[in-house]
Amino acid sequence: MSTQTAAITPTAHKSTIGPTPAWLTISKEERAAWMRHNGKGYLSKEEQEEELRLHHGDIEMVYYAEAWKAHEAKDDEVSWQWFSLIVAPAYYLKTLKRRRGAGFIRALGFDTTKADEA
Amino acid sequence: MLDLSAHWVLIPLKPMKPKALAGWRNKLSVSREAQQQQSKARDLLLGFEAVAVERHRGVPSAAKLVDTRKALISHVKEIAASGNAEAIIEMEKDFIQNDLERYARANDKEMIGSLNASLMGVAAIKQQLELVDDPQKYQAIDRGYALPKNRKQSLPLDEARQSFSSHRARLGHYVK
Repeated sequence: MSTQTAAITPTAHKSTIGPTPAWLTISKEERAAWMRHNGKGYLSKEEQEEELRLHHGDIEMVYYAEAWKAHEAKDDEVSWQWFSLIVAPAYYLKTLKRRRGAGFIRALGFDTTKADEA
Repeated sequence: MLDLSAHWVLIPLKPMKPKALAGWRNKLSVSREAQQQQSKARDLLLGFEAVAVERHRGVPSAAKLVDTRKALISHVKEIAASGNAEAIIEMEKDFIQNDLERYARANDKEMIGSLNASLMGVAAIKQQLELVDDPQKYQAIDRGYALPKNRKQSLPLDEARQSFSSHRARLGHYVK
């Protein structure tokens, strides 16, 4: 189990050259489900439900809250994992591509369909 | 603003010695590594902001705010087109008072002072309007503002005109 989780985390894939990481072979929904069950969470079940209720069932805002809590706990690695599940605005992904490179965005598995259109 | 960027070219700069450069780097409170860490954290923070701003635009109350602002603008344009000076000034006073009550709740001292000053300006403009209605009374003002520095385009720079210009500046800078 532990070896499998190590293979599936986004940071296990450091370089864009080489085999496709397991993290990217699954769909975004599956990845989100994996994060919810096996990922490092900073919100309790009740807090997650509260976030969901506050944002009228917008699940992305639960990921946002998780990412925010992780960032506050100085756990940016986990924060990026949660944050990559959110469909970020195109302009932001463009900035991120300029600053960190396309490999970074791809390795984290950001949804770039909106940015590709623009 | 004075643009000094051209002058920097003329200043002969001695290249800093590596040792001195290292000293300068050590004097800073953050090391290069810490700076890179901060830069990386900033990427994430900017991401949080980008998503929050996008969501903020999507909420129904934000759309309502846009609608009300549009309605207010058309209201302002309607009154401005009527050409009724008294109505225009009355409207401006209402807007300022509305802002004042909003900022008074936030206890923003700088903003309260600025808005109080503009309310006094509105009162001065109202007084002047009454004087303008009576040519004989306004002649007295005209004589009172005789010096060229107190006149603009051969008209007296009376309190109303002063208030107009300072109010325009205030709208530009927001705090004045």
